Amino acid sequence: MEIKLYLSKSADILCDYGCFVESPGLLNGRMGIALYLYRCARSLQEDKYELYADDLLDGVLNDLHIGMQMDMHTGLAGIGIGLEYLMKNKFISVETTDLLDEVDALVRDAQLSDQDMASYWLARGHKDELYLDMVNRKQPDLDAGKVSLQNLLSLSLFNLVYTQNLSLLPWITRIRHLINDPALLDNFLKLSNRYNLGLNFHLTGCGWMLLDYQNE
Amino acid sequence: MFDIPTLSFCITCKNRFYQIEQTLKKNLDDNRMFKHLIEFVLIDFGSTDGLQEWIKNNFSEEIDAGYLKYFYTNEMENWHVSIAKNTAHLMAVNDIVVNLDCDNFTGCNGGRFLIQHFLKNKVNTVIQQYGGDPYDGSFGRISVYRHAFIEVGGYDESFEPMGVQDLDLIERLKKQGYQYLLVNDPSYNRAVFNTKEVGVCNTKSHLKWYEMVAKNSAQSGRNLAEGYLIANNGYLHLNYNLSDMYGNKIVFK
Repeated sequence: MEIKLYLSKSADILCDYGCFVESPGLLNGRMGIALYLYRCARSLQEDKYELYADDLLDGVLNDLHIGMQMDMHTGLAGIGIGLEYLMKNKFISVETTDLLDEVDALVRDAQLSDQDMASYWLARGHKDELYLDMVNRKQPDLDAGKVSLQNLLSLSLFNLVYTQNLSLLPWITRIRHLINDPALLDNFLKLSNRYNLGLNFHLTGCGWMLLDYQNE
Repeated sequence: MFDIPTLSFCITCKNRFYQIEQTLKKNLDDNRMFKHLIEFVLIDFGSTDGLQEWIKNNFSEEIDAGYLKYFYTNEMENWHVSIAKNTAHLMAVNDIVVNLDCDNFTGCNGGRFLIQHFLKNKVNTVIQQYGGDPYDGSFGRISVYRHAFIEVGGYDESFEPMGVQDLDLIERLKKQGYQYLLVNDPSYNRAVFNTKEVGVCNTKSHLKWYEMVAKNSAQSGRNLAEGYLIANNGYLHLNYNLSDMYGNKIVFK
């Protein structure tokens, strides 16, 4: 199906229901949905999506609290990465350095997984922190160190209904297969509920890959 | 597909144009982002202050879209708040009903705010958005699932025309196991200032406000103590014939 059609229809659904996803996080929650809507707004030149993205972002920032989860999927590390992404790509013009410095401090003390920790420091551009962390853990893991935010998302996105398995094919090949399916969106909608609208799941995850594919 | 409950704001009005002209457009605008989940139900009980004309001239788009539903009756000679509120709640079609006095503001995305609270809590929850000041106009902002409202018989129509009907509804719901949630967020429970005497005037009752409160409190207390938790014998019905903005009679199903 046409990429623009998929993007606009999926974005419409996320405008209507994205705010009811409980998690504020990047991969499973509203932060990721906000990123997706910002990208759709720019790609489709549609102000409405930016309006809803702003609303979602406000909600995420209002949900930040002491003691919240720290991980990349539902927690603060992912939200920090999301903010960095928005700032670097000029989706928001607010200066977030102070806030991200605070997030850095919290992430440094958190017990994140190797992959989450590596991804966070790479995404923040702090390679020195990454290697220091690996040395301190005495678990040098170059594979984890090579995982970038883009790859993290792509690996997660392989867990789509169509395959149910991690694919060995490059993700770009998977997208070419998916685009040709005219029932793609309808099938994803049938499987969607308010718990699986995040970037980590089929509807939004596939849209994210389509946006990347469009920009290739 | 998404299991998101829908919501109806239930508004009643009789000769309070000077209040509703401050609140209605703002409330409609503040909830437009989620109008696919929200409706506003306004019952005009025979206002003679230009309300109907104002609605016709300013909100035809919202009415055509079903976002605002306007109903009119001139059969209620004397104001009775329980009957009025029950009428509005009966004409609502969404999952959650919210009593919104015509002098109250929902706040920006106030409907979405309430839906999110219901999603986080049990289905048998009653939410009150009371600001803490008995004269701030927010005491009556009560939200509950529509089926629950009907099951308990709504507001007690046997009461004197004004006073205690809100508290009585909440207490009956609590006695039946409903979780009571006080959500006092000033962003979502503001109201236009007014006094009780304005409402009493329309009731044409010989009782003063505090006398109505005393009588209704006593009756409510007796009912609760004796286990009469369903108001109106469980039979909620429209007391009056209603018509829409164009004069078409409404058939209530």
